[in-house]
Amino acid sequence: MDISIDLAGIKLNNPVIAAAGTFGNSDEYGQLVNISLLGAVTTKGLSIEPWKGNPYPRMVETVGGLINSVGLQNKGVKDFIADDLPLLRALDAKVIVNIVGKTIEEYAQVASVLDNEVGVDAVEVNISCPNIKKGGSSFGTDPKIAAQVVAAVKKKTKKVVIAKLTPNVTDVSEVAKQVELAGADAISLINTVKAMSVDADTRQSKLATLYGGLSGPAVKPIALRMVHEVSQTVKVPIIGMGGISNTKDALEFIIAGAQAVAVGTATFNNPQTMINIINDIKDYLKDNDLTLKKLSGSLKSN
Amino acid sequence: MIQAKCQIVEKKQVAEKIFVMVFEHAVIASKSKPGQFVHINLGPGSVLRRPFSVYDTYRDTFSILFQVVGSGTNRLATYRPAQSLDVIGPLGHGYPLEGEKPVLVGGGMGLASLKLLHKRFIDSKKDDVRVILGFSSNVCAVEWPEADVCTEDGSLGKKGIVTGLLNEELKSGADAVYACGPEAMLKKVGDATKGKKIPTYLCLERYMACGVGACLSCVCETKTGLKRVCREGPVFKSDDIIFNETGEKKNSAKKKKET
Repeated sequence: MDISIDLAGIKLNNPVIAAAGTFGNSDEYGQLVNISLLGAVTTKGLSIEPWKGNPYPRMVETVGGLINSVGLQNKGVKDFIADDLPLLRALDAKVIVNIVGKTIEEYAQVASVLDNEVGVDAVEVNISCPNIKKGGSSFGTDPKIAAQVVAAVKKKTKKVVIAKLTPNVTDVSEVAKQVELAGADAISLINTVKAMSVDADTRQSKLATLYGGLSGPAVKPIALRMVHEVSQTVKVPIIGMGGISNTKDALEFIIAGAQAVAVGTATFNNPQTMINIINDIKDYLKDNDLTLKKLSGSLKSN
Repeated sequence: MIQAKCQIVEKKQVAEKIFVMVFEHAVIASKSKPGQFVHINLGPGSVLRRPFSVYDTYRDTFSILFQVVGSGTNRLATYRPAQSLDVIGPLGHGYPLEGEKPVLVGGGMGLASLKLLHKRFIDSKKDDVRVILGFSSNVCAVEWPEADVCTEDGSLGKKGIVTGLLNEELKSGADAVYACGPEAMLKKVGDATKGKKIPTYLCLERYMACGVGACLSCVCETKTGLKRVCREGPVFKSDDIIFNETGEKKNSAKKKKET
């Protein structure tokens, strides 16, 4: 059964994508997962120069989720092109490169460096990571600045530009509307929810940084609501994510208005999660005599 | 590394809250080297897997040694023989076998990564291999007759910390050191051999999410930059590690209550 999709002009063999920051840069999961079977993989956030990230501990499990404060540690876009991109080019899955910056100019620089690289199908503009002090979330929480970042990136690349939105705002639709106006070809959401975990014995935060970003099943209902809200506001395709752990979760996001879904934290629990979802979506569509197109945004009113 | 359902064939309680769990899987058993680890899915309700050193291998089986300290190990202890768990392994880089008179130093449950190493030294006729185990008190009755044991309160073995016994071994000609345990202990072990040209390998314990090098949760600082404990480690040359005081403090404080 054909479950391929057209995501802003990129043809994905299926709508299931590995989420940024959870699948490494290339073949980290290659011995466990047949990566070529995925619709697309998203790299970890890449900056113009290498970033060190935050001190350890940078991750803590909570009920139904995990909070991370990795802080976008990465080797920089140039080393990525040299070390990892050749491995990604050899895969059937499409490649989305997540890009980050401390200034609007830095985002544009990374996009510019990637623009002529064969094998990069899209850039995902990460204006939503809660773990860096400059940039990241602060860009994504202000609709005007979010739009400026997207516009600056758009100017420097012919690749498909995806804007990744933060849930840490009052009105996510307004941010979505502004990034669409600025030229975003697609929108992905949600990034992690700003969160905290305290150790009552030491009376310290369980993360070396005070706060981190919550992901996993705990955030799914929030993500679902936001995907629905945004789908009511914009025309560009939506990649829905946030706590997707199984096929049912993925279907819920598609019904709520997403064209594609991304899986992150669930891969840590079971690296086969995405493969299982791809297979089961086919069965679901067959059993219900549906296509992905018909299913997407098909939420019925109560 | 592979991912496989592994049946539990035996569960032994060896001390209060301390268990050995034996799993059946020919490939993981035969491929596991000393110092490597397995990443175990604890079933419904757990978001993350838990990493455990490969404690021992025998024919088609491998085992882990664990202490019940938090929600994860609590859940693990509820599993019984004939049940199966999803395991990824073996993971990471283990210990290289060096020296004619090696010393293995284990702190607390860190001893779990040393048992197989000891076996491999004996297999290769390094009968002078010595084992030093340290515990905070008389909590660990793991059977290891060859080991010299010390406790901080003197309730089991000698009173004192492992580095006291290690220094004696170094004086009597030990030529390679292997250690696993709390970071504060590892740092002291590293200091004990510093400048002595004795190869010293330290196995780090870290909170992990992916276990395969994708998420960058478990990084440690080294002289050649940040390294992933799950992928480039968990065993590092002592000289390469830069111990981070904040991480060390938080890590040991948390270990008491959680995993």
